[in-house]
Amino acid sequence: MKTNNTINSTQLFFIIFQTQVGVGVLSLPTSLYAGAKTDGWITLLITGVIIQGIIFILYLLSNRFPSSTLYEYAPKIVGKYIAFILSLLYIAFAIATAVIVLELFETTIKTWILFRTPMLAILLLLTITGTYLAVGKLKVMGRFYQFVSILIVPLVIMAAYTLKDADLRYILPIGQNGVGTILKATQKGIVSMLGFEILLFVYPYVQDKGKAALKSATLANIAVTSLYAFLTFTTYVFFSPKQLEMIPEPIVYMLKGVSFIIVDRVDLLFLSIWIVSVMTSYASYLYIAGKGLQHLTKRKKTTGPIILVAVIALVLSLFTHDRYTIEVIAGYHAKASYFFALGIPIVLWLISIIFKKKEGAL
Amino acid sequence: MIKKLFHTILIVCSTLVLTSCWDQELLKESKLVYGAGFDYEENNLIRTTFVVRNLGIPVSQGGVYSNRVVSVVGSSSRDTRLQMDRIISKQLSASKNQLLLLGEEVAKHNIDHMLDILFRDPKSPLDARIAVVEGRALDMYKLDHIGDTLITEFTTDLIKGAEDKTEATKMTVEKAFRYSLDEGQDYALPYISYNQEVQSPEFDGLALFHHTTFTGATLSPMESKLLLLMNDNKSSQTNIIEALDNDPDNGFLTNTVTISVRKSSPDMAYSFQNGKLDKAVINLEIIGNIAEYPQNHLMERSQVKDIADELSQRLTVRANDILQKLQEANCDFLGIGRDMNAYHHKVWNSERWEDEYKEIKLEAKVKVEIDETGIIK
Amino acid sequence: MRRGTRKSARNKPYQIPTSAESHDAFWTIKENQQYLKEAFYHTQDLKFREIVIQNVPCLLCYLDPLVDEDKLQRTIMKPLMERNKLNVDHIVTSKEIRISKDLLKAVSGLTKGFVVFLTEGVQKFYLLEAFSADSRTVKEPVNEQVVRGSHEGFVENIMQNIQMLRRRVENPNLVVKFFKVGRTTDTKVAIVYIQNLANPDLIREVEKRINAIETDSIQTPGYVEEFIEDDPFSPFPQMLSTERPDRLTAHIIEGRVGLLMEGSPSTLIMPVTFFSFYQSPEDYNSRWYIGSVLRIIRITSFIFALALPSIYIATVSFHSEILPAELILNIKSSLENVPFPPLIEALIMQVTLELLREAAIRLPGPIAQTIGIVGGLVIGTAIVEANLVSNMMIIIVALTAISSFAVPSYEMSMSIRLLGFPLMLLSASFGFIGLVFGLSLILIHLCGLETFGTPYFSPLAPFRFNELKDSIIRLPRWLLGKRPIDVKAQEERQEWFSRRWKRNEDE
Repeated sequence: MKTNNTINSTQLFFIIFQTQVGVGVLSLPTSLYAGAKTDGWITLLITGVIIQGIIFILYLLSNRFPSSTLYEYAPKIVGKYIAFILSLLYIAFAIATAVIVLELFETTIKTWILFRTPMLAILLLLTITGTYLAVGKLKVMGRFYQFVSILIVPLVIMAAYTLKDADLRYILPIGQNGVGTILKATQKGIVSMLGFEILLFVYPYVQDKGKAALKSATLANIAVTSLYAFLTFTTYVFFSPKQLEMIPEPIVYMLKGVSFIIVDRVDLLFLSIWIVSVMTSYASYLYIAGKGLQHLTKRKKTTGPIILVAVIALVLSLFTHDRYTIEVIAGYHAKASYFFALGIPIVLWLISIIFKKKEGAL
Repeated sequence: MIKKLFHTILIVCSTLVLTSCWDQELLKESKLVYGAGFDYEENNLIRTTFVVRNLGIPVSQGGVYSNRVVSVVGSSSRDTRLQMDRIISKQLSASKNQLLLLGEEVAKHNIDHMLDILFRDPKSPLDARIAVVEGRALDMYKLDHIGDTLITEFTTDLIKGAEDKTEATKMTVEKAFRYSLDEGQDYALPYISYNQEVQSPEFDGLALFHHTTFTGATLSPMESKLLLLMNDNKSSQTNIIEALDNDPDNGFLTNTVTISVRKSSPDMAYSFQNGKLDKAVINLEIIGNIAEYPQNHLMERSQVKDIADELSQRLTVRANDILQKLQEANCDFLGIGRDMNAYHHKVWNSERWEDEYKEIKLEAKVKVEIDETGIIK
Repeated sequence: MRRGTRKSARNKPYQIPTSAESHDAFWTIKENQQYLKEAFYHTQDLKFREIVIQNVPCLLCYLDPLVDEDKLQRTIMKPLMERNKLNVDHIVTSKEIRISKDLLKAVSGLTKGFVVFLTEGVQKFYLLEAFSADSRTVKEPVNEQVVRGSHEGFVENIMQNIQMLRRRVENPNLVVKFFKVGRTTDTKVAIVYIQNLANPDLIREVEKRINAIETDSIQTPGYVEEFIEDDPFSPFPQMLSTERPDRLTAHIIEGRVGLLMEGSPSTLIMPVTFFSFYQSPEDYNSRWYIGSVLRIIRITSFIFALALPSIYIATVSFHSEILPAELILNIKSSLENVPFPPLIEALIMQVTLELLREAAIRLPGPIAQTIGIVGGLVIGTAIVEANLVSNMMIIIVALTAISSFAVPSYEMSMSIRLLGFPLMLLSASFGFIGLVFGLSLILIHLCGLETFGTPYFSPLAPFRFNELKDSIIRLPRWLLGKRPIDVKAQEERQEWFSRRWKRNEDE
């Protein structure tokens, strides 16, 4: 006697939200600054609009096949063999993302909190917890994501607290670097906001499909965009521009000097909460990869595939680790992500429209 | 199901085995540094002084805290820190350091040289106060205690007190980092001197910095107060004492008035010429209450106004003096450069600003208004 | 005044629908018997006794737990059998005799402890009082004491327990089903629920699981619990065990199923959520904000009991810089001469505490107190003076222990203290990072746990805002219009604008 493995639209909202908010949030202000200088926060807002467009396309695609995941309907659109390759690619992409999450997580923890702990131990912690979360079925993920989202509130409060030392003049004049630079930097923004593509894989489990699901996805996008824009904004008015170039994780750095009544070093609390967000996006990607593997191997349960995927990701993440190498790898991954989050879904959608492929109709 | 139990046991066991605590830094095994100081030594070496807190007997069993002052010479702060480890038992931990004193000489060099370790180390205390000391920091720490209070606490409280009285801005390591890389704004650190008469350190105004070096110019506490008011840094209590010469001749030694500032609003007005900043005028409006005025009783409104007018005049003169000092020291404390960048972006050029700042005409106009006279007239 | 917007709903007081509408009695006792059985949904504590008087078959019908056996014998059976006459009015010595033709009266009479006397070929029947009034040495359960409210507790006799329930819920919908479990012991186990309210799927599931039990013996409800619970490896209790009739009744009325067992005063309630363990019947006896504050305190106590030692360990062994400069000296000075790392300190104290608790339970009252004094005061002071454990650790462990005992359920309080140990290990190896991962694991487990198709951590996960008002806090009863949704009761409403009198008052 178990409840159905479905998620309601609120849970869909939080699944998308928590998958998007993840490891990238710490370095986001710096990477945006590299592209758009002090107008990075505007870039972020524009990115949000672009992503909304993508989400709309993902929604249209998913809604043509409301009861199956990408893995299941891809054969109907492009045929068995191409679909097989596509699925493999998506699995590889999800694993790669999981590896990047692990790597970035490990680097951050290593530079900020645990300096001497062997990275295997740190990665193992995340792997075990993330796997346990991912094998628990989508409904458990939904519940967990929704529950831990309350932790975003203290995160925002902490960041808002630093506004008392803000100097608005650091970001003025708005738009000083020109529209071109701002638009160009959007590509950096999109990378940190990846995660909305999970819509393609959880859509069949949503109770209220159609408009309600689109609404959840849109709200999630708005929430992520505003959260990111807010965090970026606070760091931009807190640090002088030159500082932003040299501090890789400005949000944490900003909180390092903050002390509340009985707690000094608020950054430690911030990082502790941030870990949960990392865990959720990590689990989401494990789920995406595991789901694909399950589909390809035609197994009944996702448990085995997810554990396999987690082990692969763990082994891969053990190879490289210094900050600069990871940045290079992350760069390649970012380029690839355009295909997976944007390119392939659009192509699939167009094909499905042209050849009138829909669920039911063969 | 058995499998699941097995997994759980496995995880618990592995955690137990893994408990080798790589990063453990036990509180009881650490020696806490409560104050640090840097001084200049010959041959471009740095003398670092640490004040380490001793806890021989627990306080609950009647023990008292005491300080141990250790000082070594080295080429950088990390170098001295490593030397320090050799002469201090247990693990040295500077994460709770409250105070960072810079000797006068060392401050005249780029202070980022000493502070880099604080910016870079994830465990460093970013909220430690920084101050410049007349003479050497080591000498200050050697005082050990003033009355019953340990020197570190004493000096920290001095600075905090000055912050509350609008005599100094809150300058922590974090702020120093912020301004050290800021092209359009300079800062000033609290200046501590040794008062021979009472044999204790004394807060003695602000030490003006240009970028990250001490310019050698200082402002008195009174001047600091006015400067901070011009920069809109008013804190909870601000008292201004000023001599007057509207002497009604009633046998007092001096003729002064003290007002406690309730509200102050500075306003900057810029004028440009040839695409360059030409003149900056600071209009400072101060609204305050009379806190002390022994000479006379203020029965009439006009009397109050007279005092206010005279105060305005005198403070304007003082303010202009301060601005001149700032310009001579090339210390853009008011962040005029930052203003240019933000509001008049076209005239802003960070390279040119270095010289431009000295050229511009700075003028202050202070207007005092008094509306209360305390509980007597 | 406010215009009544929901007039139609307010004018129609709802009753749990019964199939027993006003109904004339049948002429044959067979038909009557059938009718009554159905009216009580074949509850198994409805007893029939056929007797023949003057060659006319008669039928005595009563609810076993409610009727005093002695009274039944002495005032009804004995006179009837001995005199062998049908003029019941004169023979039976019951305190109260009613005559009726309406079977509905029979049904309601039965729930009040009357015996129904039916005669073949006669439509009229008698209602004879045989109510069991004496409650034999019912004591308040020691582990679930309340300040205000009922001080009744279940006893070892299952019939008497059902009687307590029947007295609290005088409704034919209260159904009791008996099972015989255990090949050797053949123990009597009963489930109670309210027909037409409890979810039929739930009832079927409970029956299925109980029927599946194949074992030699059942000694305590704990056996049954382990056989039928969903996740036997979970550290959390998935059924609420209580010895309080009022608590059981309250849960049954919300649509849950209760399980009673012969020979044990503790009963089980299923399905329950995590927050049921943090509720006490007392909450509803005090002002609602007091009740709310108490609940919030209890939930805070959960966090304290679970994580306080771990937070402390993580702080003093990894992140001491998080403490403000003034506080750190106090803590450091108390730690200075302790030779052990904080983890060992905590383990010493926690184990000592568990030992004391375990020792105190086994001893009679006055000696247990002595143990408390010896343990708490003497060991506590001595251990600090001997520099084995620091003052701070004593404070932390004491706070943890107090917090864990604030939970109104004994099993839950044990589970939480137990869960504290792995968390302590994690924080001793990874600091806050380990603690966060540990807490996350527990939380994921809570989110995934389901008992009898009910999410265990509801209403927090899945999040149901409307239900926070009777789980995290307690709003006034008249605002709790609906039953908790996760029980999937057949009727959602439980209250119908009881304060409607207020609306007319202003006129």
